[in-house]
Amino acid sequence: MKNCYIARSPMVAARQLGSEMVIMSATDSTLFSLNEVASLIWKSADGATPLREIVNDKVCAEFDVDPEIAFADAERLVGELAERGLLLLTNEPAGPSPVEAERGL
Amino acid sequence: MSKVAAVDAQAAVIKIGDIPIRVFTDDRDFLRMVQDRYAGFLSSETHAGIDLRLDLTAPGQISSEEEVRVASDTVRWSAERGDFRLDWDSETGRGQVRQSANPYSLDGVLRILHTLVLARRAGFLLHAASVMRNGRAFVFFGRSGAGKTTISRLAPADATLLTDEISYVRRDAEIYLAYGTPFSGELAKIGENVSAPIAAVYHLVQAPENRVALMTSADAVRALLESVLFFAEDAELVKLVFQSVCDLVGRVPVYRLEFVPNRTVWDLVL
Repeated sequence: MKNCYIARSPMVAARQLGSEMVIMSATDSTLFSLNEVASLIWKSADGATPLREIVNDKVCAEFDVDPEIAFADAERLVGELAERGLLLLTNEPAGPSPVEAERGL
Repeated sequence: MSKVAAVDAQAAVIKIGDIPIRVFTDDRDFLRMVQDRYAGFLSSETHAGIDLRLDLTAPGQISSEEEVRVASDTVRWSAERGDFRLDWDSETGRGQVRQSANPYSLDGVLRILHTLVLARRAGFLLHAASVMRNGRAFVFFGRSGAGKTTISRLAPADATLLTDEISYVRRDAEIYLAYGTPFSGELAKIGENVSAPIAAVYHLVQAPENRVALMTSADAVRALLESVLFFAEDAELVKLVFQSVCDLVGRVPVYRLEFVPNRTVWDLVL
Protein backbone atom coordinates (compact mmCIF):
# COMPACT_ATOMS: atom_id res chain seq x y z
CA MET A 1 0.00 0.00 0.00
CA LYS A 2 2.28 2.77 -1.29
CA ASN A 3 1.31 6.44 -1.19
CA CYS A 4 -1.78 5.63 0.80
CA TYR A 5 -3.89 8.61 1.88
CA ILE A 6 -6.65 8.26 4.43
CA ALA A 7 -9.68 10.45 5.05
CA ARG A 8 -12.47 10.17 7.60
CA SER A 9 -15.78 9.23 6.02
CA PRO A 10 -18.43 11.96 6.13
CA MET A 11 -20.89 9.22 7.16
CA VAL A 12 -19.56 8.90 10.69
CA ALA A 13 -19.72 10.86 13.91
CA ALA A 14 -16.78 10.66 16.29
CA ARG A 15 -15.87 12.00 19.70
CA GLN A 16 -12.73 11.70 21.83
CA LEU A 17 -13.87 10.44 25.24
CA GLY A 18 -10.99 10.09 27.66
CA SER A 19 -8.34 7.95 26.00
CA GLU A 20 -10.82 6.43 23.55
CA MET A 21 -12.12 7.67 20.24
CA VAL A 22 -15.72 6.54 19.98
CA ILE A 23 -17.05 6.43 16.43
CA MET A 24 -20.59 5.85 15.26
CA SER A 25 -21.45 4.85 11.75
CA ALA A 26 -24.29 7.08 10.62
CA THR A 27 -25.44 4.51 8.11
CA ASP A 28 -26.17 1.65 10.49
CA SER A 29 -25.59 3.20 13.98
CA THR A 30 -22.81 0.72 14.76
CA LEU A 31 -20.35 1.88 17.44
CA PHE A 32 -16.59 1.50 17.29
CA SER A 33 -13.89 2.34 19.77
CA LEU A 34 -10.28 3.17 18.95
CA ASN A 35 -7.33 2.96 21.33
CA GLU A 36 -4.78 5.76 21.71
CA VAL A 37 -2.60 4.84 18.73
CA ALA A 38 -5.57 4.25 16.45
CA SER A 39 -7.14 7.53 17.67
CA LEU A 40 -3.99 9.40 16.68
CA ILE A 41 -4.12 7.92 13.18
CA TRP A 42 -7.84 8.71 12.98
CA LYS A 43 -7.31 12.34 13.96
CA SER A 44 -4.52 12.66 11.37
CA ALA A 45 -6.68 11.23 8.57
CA ASP A 46 -7.02 14.48 6.64
CA GLY A 47 -6.87 12.94 3.17
CA ALA A 48 -3.74 14.94 2.37
CA THR A 49 -1.04 13.38 4.54
CA PRO A 50 0.42 10.02 3.43
CA LEU A 51 -0.09 7.21 5.93
CA ARG A 52 3.69 6.67 6.03
CA GLU A 53 4.15 10.29 7.14
CA ILE A 54 1.43 9.98 9.79
CA VAL A 55 3.13 6.90 11.22
CA ASN A 56 6.61 8.44 11.19
CA ASP A 57 5.72 11.95 12.36
CA LYS A 58 2.87 11.26 14.75
CA VAL A 59 2.79 7.66 15.93
CA CYS A 60 6.55 7.09 16.22
CA ALA A 61 7.04 10.54 17.73
CA GLU A 62 4.55 9.84 20.48
CA PHE A 63 4.93 6.12 21.11
CA ASP A 64 8.06 4.01 21.46
CA VAL A 65 7.49 1.72 18.48
CA ASP A 66 9.51 0.37 15.58
CA PRO A 67 8.55 2.37 12.46
CA GLU A 68 8.15 -0.66 10.19
CA ILE A 69 6.07 -2.60 12.70
CA ALA A 70 4.01 0.53 13.37
CA PHE A 71 3.44 1.04 9.64
CA ALA A 72 2.37 -2.57 9.13
CA ASP A 73 -0.06 -2.26 12.06
CA ALA A 74 -1.36 1.04 10.69
CA GLU A 75 -1.94 -0.48 7.25
CA ARG A 76 -3.93 -3.29 8.83
CA LEU A 77 -5.95 -0.84 10.92
CA VAL A 78 -6.86 1.53 8.09
CA GLY A 79 -7.77 -1.47 5.92
CA GLU A 80 -10.22 -2.67 8.57
CA LEU A 81 -11.67 0.80 9.11
CA ALA A 82 -12.08 1.25 5.36
CA GLU A 83 -13.86 -2.12 5.11
CA ARG A 84 -16.33 -0.88 7.70
CA GLY A 85 -16.87 2.36 5.80
CA LEU A 86 -15.28 4.57 8.44
CA LEU A 87 -12.21 5.63 6.42
CA LEU A 88 -11.72 6.41 2.76
CA LEU A 89 -8.44 5.21 1.19
CA THR A 90 -6.92 6.72 -1.93
CA ASN A 91 -3.60 6.64 -3.76
CA GLU A 92 -3.70 10.38 -4.35
CA PRO A 93 -4.13 13.20 -1.85
CA ALA A 94 -7.69 14.47 -1.65
CA GLY A 95 -8.34 17.60 -3.72
CA PRO A 96 -9.89 20.71 -2.28
CA SER A 97 -13.58 20.49 -1.45
CA PRO A 98 -15.96 22.12 -3.98
CA VAL A 99 -16.35 25.11 -1.64
CA GLU A 100 -12.60 25.54 -1.27
CA ALA A 101 -12.13 25.18 -5.03
CA GLU A 102 -14.73 27.88 -5.64
CA ARG A 103 -12.90 30.19 -3.28
CA GLY A 104 -9.67 29.48 -5.13
CA LEU A 105 -8.13 27.75 -2.12
CA MET B 1 -46.03 24.71 32.55
CA SER B 2 -49.77 25.16 32.76
CA LYS B 3 -52.33 22.43 32.40
CA VAL B 4 -55.01 23.99 30.27
CA ALA B 5 -57.61 21.96 28.48
CA ALA B 6 -57.87 22.62 24.77
CA VAL B 7 -61.18 24.19 23.80
CA ASP B 8 -61.08 23.75 20.04
CA ALA B 9 -63.88 21.34 19.12
CA GLN B 10 -61.93 19.69 16.30
CA ALA B 11 -58.35 19.89 17.43
CA ALA B 12 -56.23 19.24 20.46
CA VAL B 13 -52.76 20.65 20.99
CA ILE B 14 -50.56 18.13 22.78
CA LYS B 15 -47.49 19.81 24.18
CA ILE B 16 -44.70 17.52 25.35
CA GLY B 17 -41.23 18.87 26.05
CA ASP B 18 -42.34 22.38 25.08
CA ILE B 19 -43.05 21.17 21.54
CA PRO B 20 -46.73 21.59 20.63
CA ILE B 21 -48.32 19.19 18.15
CA ARG B 22 -51.85 19.94 16.99
CA VAL B 23 -54.02 17.00 15.99
CA PHE B 24 -57.20 17.44 13.98
CA THR B 25 -59.98 14.94 13.62
CA ASP B 26 -63.59 15.09 12.51
CA ASP B 27 -64.48 12.44 15.06
CA ARG B 28 -65.52 14.20 18.26
CA ASP B 29 -65.61 10.98 20.28
CA PHE B 30 -62.03 10.21 19.37
CA LEU B 31 -61.00 13.77 20.10
CA ARG B 32 -62.42 13.34 23.61
CA MET B 33 -60.43 10.11 24.00
CA VAL B 34 -57.29 11.98 22.96
CA GLN B 35 -58.03 14.78 25.40
CA ASP B 36 -58.50 12.25 28.19
CA ARG B 37 -55.36 10.32 27.26
CA TYR B 38 -53.18 13.44 27.19
CA ALA B 39 -54.86 15.38 29.97
CA GLY B 40 -52.12 17.42 31.64
CA PHE B 41 -50.28 17.76 28.33
CA LEU B 42 -52.94 19.76 26.49
CA SER B 43 -52.25 23.35 25.60
CA SER B 44 -54.59 26.20 24.69
CA GLU B 45 -52.12 27.50 22.10
CA THR B 46 -53.77 28.09 18.75
CA HIS B 47 -50.60 27.78 16.72
CA ALA B 48 -48.38 24.71 16.69
CA GLY B 49 -45.31 24.08 14.59
CA ILE B 50 -46.62 20.60 13.80
CA ASP B 51 -50.12 19.89 12.51
CA LEU B 52 -51.44 16.37 12.08
CA ARG B 53 -54.69 15.42 10.40
CA LEU B 54 -56.01 12.12 11.77
CA ASP B 55 -57.92 9.98 9.28
CA LEU B 56 -59.59 7.27 11.28
CA THR B 57 -60.13 3.86 9.72
CA ALA B 58 -61.96 0.74 10.82
CA PRO B 59 -60.02 -1.39 13.31
CA GLY B 60 -57.57 -3.68 11.58
CA GLN B 61 -54.22 -3.77 9.93
CA ILE B 62 -53.07 -0.48 8.41
CA SER B 63 -49.64 -1.64 7.32
CA SER B 64 -47.90 -4.97 6.91
CA GLU B 65 -44.92 -3.62 8.89
CA GLU B 66 -44.81 -5.20 12.35
CA GLU B 67 -41.84 -3.16 13.57
CA VAL B 68 -41.82 0.59 13.17
CA ARG B 69 -40.37 1.55 9.82
CA VAL B 70 -39.37 5.16 9.21
CA ALA B 71 -38.21 6.48 5.85
CA SER B 72 -37.48 9.91 4.46
CA ASP B 73 -37.06 11.62 1.15
CA THR B 74 -35.32 14.84 2.21
CA VAL B 75 -38.11 16.66 4.07
CA ARG B 76 -40.93 14.15 3.54
CA TRP B 77 -41.08 11.49 6.25
CA SER B 78 -43.17 8.39 6.48
CA ALA B 79 -43.54 5.99 9.37
CA GLU B 80 -45.56 2.82 9.52
CA ARG B 81 -46.38 0.15 11.98
CA GLY B 82 -49.17 -2.43 11.86
CA ASP B 83 -51.62 0.00 13.44
CA PHE B 84 -50.78 3.34 11.82
CA ARG B 85 -49.20 5.19 8.95
CA LEU B 86 -47.77 8.70 9.28
CA ASP B 87 -46.78 10.99 6.42
CA TRP B 88 -45.17 14.22 7.54
CA ASP B 89 -43.39 17.14 5.89
CA SER B 90 -40.68 18.46 8.19
CA GLU B 91 -40.50 21.74 6.27
CA THR B 92 -44.17 22.73 6.54
CA GLY B 93 -44.73 20.79 9.77
CA ARG B 94 -47.91 19.29 8.31
CA GLY B 95 -48.75 15.65 8.23
CA GLN B 96 -51.42 13.02 8.01
CA VAL B 97 -52.02 9.92 10.11
CA ARG B 98 -54.11 6.89 9.19
CA GLN B 99 -55.07 4.82 12.21
CA SER B 100 -58.05 3.32 13.96
CA ALA B 101 -59.67 5.12 16.89
CA ASN B 102 -57.06 3.96 19.37
CA PRO B 103 -55.11 6.60 21.35
CA TYR B 104 -52.19 4.20 21.75
CA SER B 105 -51.58 4.30 18.00
CA LEU B 106 -51.32 8.05 18.34
CA ASP B 107 -48.83 7.46 21.15
CA GLY B 108 -46.57 5.66 18.67
CA VAL B 109 -46.92 8.48 16.16
CA LEU B 110 -46.04 11.11 18.76
CA ARG B 111 -42.96 9.21 19.95
CA ILE B 112 -41.64 8.97 16.40
CA LEU B 113 -42.33 12.62 15.63
CA HIS B 114 -40.61 13.76 18.81
CA THR B 115 -37.49 11.71 18.03
CA LEU B 116 -37.29 13.38 14.62
CA VAL B 117 -37.88 16.89 15.93
CA LEU B 118 -35.73 16.51 19.05
CA ALA B 119 -32.68 15.35 17.11
CA ARG B 120 -32.41 18.82 15.59
CA ARG B 121 -33.03 20.49 18.96
CA ALA B 122 -30.19 18.88 20.87
CA GLY B 123 -32.34 16.23 22.49
CA PHE B 124 -33.55 12.65 22.39
CA LEU B 125 -36.00 10.22 23.93
CA LEU B 126 -34.51 7.59 26.21
CA HIS B 127 -35.80 4.28 27.56
CA ALA B 128 -35.57 5.60 31.09
CA ALA B 129 -37.54 6.57 34.15
CA SER B 130 -37.08 10.09 35.44
CA VAL B 131 -38.01 11.65 38.69
CA MET B 132 -37.85 15.22 39.93
CA ARG B 133 -36.83 15.97 43.50
CA ASN B 134 -35.96 19.33 45.05
CA GLY B 135 -36.03 20.99 41.63
CA ARG B 136 -33.56 18.54 40.10
CA ALA B 137 -34.18 15.64 37.75
CA PHE B 138 -32.69 12.16 38.05
CA VAL B 139 -32.77 9.85 35.04
CA PHE B 140 -32.61 6.04 35.35
CA PHE B 141 -32.03 4.15 32.13
CA GLY B 142 -31.61 0.52 31.28
CA ARG B 143 -32.86 -2.33 29.24
CA SER B 144 -36.29 -3.84 29.69
CA GLY B 145 -36.49 -5.41 33.14
CA ALA B 146 -33.60 -3.39 34.55
CA GLY B 147 -35.87 -1.74 37.10
CA LYS B 148 -37.15 1.55 35.64
CA THR B 149 -40.64 1.03 36.98
CA THR B 150 -39.31 -0.40 40.25
CA ILE B 151 -37.10 2.58 41.02
CA SER B 152 -39.96 4.92 40.16
CA ARG B 153 -42.25 3.07 42.55
CA LEU B 154 -39.61 3.22 45.30
CA ALA B 155 -39.06 6.99 44.94
CA PRO B 156 -39.46 9.06 48.13
CA ALA B 157 -42.85 10.63 48.77
CA ASP B 158 -41.58 14.12 47.96
CA ALA B 159 -40.46 13.08 44.46
CA THR B 160 -42.44 13.88 41.31
CA LEU B 161 -42.66 11.25 38.60
CA LEU B 162 -41.73 12.56 35.15
CA THR B 163 -42.05 9.14 33.52
CA ASP B 164 -41.44 5.49 34.33
CA GLU B 165 -40.81 4.54 30.71
CA ILE B 166 -39.69 7.17 28.18
CA SER B 167 -37.59 10.11 29.33
CA TYR B 168 -37.53 13.32 27.37
CA VAL B 169 -34.06 14.86 27.40
CA ARG B 170 -33.30 18.18 25.80
CA ARG B 171 -30.57 20.79 26.02
CA ASP B 172 -31.49 24.33 27.02
CA ALA B 173 -28.52 26.71 26.71
CA GLU B 174 -25.81 25.14 28.88
CA ILE B 175 -27.93 22.62 30.77
CA TYR B 176 -29.89 19.49 29.99
CA LEU B 177 -33.51 19.28 31.09
CA ALA B 178 -35.72 16.25 31.67
CA TYR B 179 -39.38 16.81 30.85
CA GLY B 180 -42.37 14.86 32.03
CA THR B 181 -44.05 12.70 29.40
CA PRO B 182 -47.42 10.98 29.06
CA PHE B 183 -45.62 7.83 27.88
CA SER B 184 -46.06 5.37 30.71
CA GLY B 185 -44.80 1.85 31.36
CA GLU B 186 -45.90 -0.78 33.83
CA LEU B 187 -46.78 1.87 36.40
CA ALA B 188 -49.55 2.94 34.02
CA LYS B 189 -49.30 6.40 35.48
CA ILE B 190 -48.48 9.28 33.21
CA GLY B 191 -45.79 11.71 34.27
CA GLU B 192 -46.29 15.23 35.53
CA ASN B 193 -46.00 17.95 32.91
CA VAL B 194 -43.00 19.69 34.46
CA SER B 195 -39.29 19.88 33.74
CA ALA B 196 -36.06 20.24 35.70
CA PRO B 197 -32.31 20.35 35.09
CA ILE B 198 -30.80 16.87 35.07
CA ALA B 199 -28.55 16.43 38.13
CA ALA B 200 -27.42 12.87 37.39
CA VAL B 201 -28.06 9.92 35.13
CA TYR B 202 -28.00 6.31 36.38
CA HIS B 203 -27.52 3.11 34.41
CA LEU B 204 -29.72 0.61 36.24
CA VAL B 205 -28.48 -2.88 36.97
CA GLN B 206 -30.31 -5.15 39.42
CA ALA B 207 -27.81 -6.78 41.81
CA PRO B 208 -27.59 -8.51 45.24
CA GLU B 209 -26.48 -5.26 46.93
CA ASN B 210 -26.61 -1.50 46.39
CA ARG B 211 -23.57 0.09 44.82
CA VAL B 212 -22.97 3.22 42.77
CA ALA B 213 -19.93 4.01 40.62
CA LEU B 214 -19.15 6.82 38.20
CA MET B 215 -18.90 5.53 34.63
CA THR B 216 -16.18 6.55 32.21
CA SER B 217 -17.41 8.87 29.47
CA ALA B 218 -16.94 6.23 26.79
CA ASP B 219 -18.82 3.55 28.78
CA ALA B 220 -21.61 6.03 29.55
CA VAL B 221 -22.02 6.98 25.89
CA ARG B 222 -22.06 3.33 24.81
CA ALA B 223 -24.65 2.41 27.44
CA LEU B 224 -26.85 5.43 26.77
CA LEU B 225 -26.88 4.92 23.02
CA GLU B 226 -28.32 1.43 23.57
CA SER B 227 -31.28 3.03 25.33
CA VAL B 228 -31.94 5.95 23.00
CA LEU B 229 -35.17 5.66 21.02
CA PHE B 230 -34.34 6.21 17.44
CA PHE B 231 -36.29 5.00 14.47
CA ALA B 232 -34.99 6.91 11.48
CA GLU B 233 -32.20 5.52 9.35
CA ASP B 234 -31.07 9.01 8.51
CA ALA B 235 -27.33 9.69 8.66
CA GLU B 236 -27.64 13.34 9.62
CA LEU B 237 -30.04 12.65 12.49
CA VAL B 238 -27.94 9.71 13.72
CA LYS B 239 -24.93 12.04 13.92
CA LEU B 240 -26.93 14.69 15.76
CA VAL B 241 -28.18 12.20 18.36
CA PHE B 242 -24.67 10.83 18.86
CA GLN B 243 -23.34 14.34 19.44
CA SER B 244 -26.17 15.13 21.89
CA VAL B 245 -25.49 11.99 23.91
CA CYS B 246 -21.76 12.81 24.04
CA ASP B 247 -22.59 16.37 25.03
CA LEU B 248 -24.90 15.23 27.85
CA VAL B 249 -22.18 12.93 29.18
CA GLY B 250 -19.76 15.84 29.17
CA ARG B 251 -22.10 17.93 31.33
CA VAL B 252 -23.90 15.51 33.64
CA PRO B 253 -22.38 12.67 35.71
CA VAL B 254 -23.46 9.20 34.65
CA TYR B 255 -23.33 6.42 37.25
CA ARG B 256 -23.75 2.67 37.15
CA LEU B 257 -26.32 1.94 39.84
CA GLU B 258 -26.48 -1.64 41.07
CA PHE B 259 -29.45 -2.02 43.33
CA VAL B 260 -31.70 -4.31 45.27
CA PRO B 261 -35.37 -3.46 44.86
CA ASN B 262 -36.06 -1.66 48.12
CA ARG B 263 -36.16 1.97 49.25
CA THR B 264 -32.55 2.00 50.47
CA VAL B 265 -31.40 2.45 46.87
CA TRP B 266 -32.57 6.06 47.04
CA ASP B 267 -29.92 6.73 49.70
CA LEU B 268 -27.37 6.41 46.88
CA VAL B 269 -29.08 8.91 44.59
CA LEU B 270 -27.60 12.40 44.81
